Amino acid sequence: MRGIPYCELVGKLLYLATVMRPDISYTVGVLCCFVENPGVAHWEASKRILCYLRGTTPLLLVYSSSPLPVHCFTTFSNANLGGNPDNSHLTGSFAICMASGAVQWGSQLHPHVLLSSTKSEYTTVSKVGCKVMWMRYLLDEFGYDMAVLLTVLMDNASAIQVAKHPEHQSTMKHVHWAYHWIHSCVEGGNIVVSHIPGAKNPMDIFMKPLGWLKFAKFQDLLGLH
Amino acid sequence: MEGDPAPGEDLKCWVVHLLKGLYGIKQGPQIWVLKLHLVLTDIGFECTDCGHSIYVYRQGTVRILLPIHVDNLLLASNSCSALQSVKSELASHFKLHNLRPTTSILGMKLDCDCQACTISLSQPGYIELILQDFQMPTATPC
Repeated sequence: MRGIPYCELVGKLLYLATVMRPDISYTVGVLCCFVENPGVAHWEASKRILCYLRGTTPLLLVYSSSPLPVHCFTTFSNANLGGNPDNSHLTGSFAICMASGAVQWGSQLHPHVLLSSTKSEYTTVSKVGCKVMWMRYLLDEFGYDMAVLLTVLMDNASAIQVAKHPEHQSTMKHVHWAYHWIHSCVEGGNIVVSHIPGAKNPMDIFMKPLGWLKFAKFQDLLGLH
Repeated sequence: MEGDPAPGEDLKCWVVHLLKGLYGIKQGPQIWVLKLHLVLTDIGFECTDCGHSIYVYRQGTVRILLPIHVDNLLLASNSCSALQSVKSELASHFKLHNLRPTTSILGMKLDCDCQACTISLSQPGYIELILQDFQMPTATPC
């Protein structure tokens, strides 16, 4: 693999995935894990993305008027427990959607192993909360009235309960106190965590390989048409 | 040492104090940012704390957003007359190229459809560039 510009290609794809193609975020994220010592399979996979990009060049990230005012954005959050088969680390993902299109998204391999899906979703939503608050402050500075409730949607009911009442959960005692930051946001009325059925949560596109039908549906939900 | 170098003297042992910014020097970017900040705050813009490269102008219901990338400025506003006056104010300080309504920004293609009320982004140029860089401009699409 010496002399193969794998690193350069992944770097270029990473820029594209960050700027306007949420659909390749997960794949590029996986390929990034092998930048130091890539194999033939990884090079083939990265070329496969190029074929995919060639077929989907005209794809547009569309923002259209929605019934909600523009500053009432929605955030999706999800985590994949043991998502990485090499070290069982979890993959966390989020997307902030405004005017029917995604404005910020991410798929990130977290550097720790967790014991349950509740813990993984809870720690992820705490990190996602930081992005939501940043967006809130930014829109506030732009002059929008931000006295609105910002919703974070996730598909794990028990993680939602923990975010509302962490003191009731004896199995969550060992979670680092820093992650309870999300609870203070929920209690302070800045963020509302609500449930969304897994089939309607487009975050799967950031965490696992999907079949074509599901992939197209989630692409649509993120505003890629 | 102060004063002027004598004829034939090695200029490398002199330290010079710059009186104005010159194109290409190390301090150039900082001088540019400070100058732009001064002009924009004079006009009435405020630098946002959450994103230092975005300036906001607010007066009553008029609102102008001004994201900056080095010396590329993008103006967005809900009032055309306010936009015009800011443009003429800026033109009195800098030499401006007015690129009319935005069609591309940082390599992204931007399309506004006023009838359907949509804004769409795409990056066909960048994708084409990657395909050419890696000798795959004729790859089988999938």
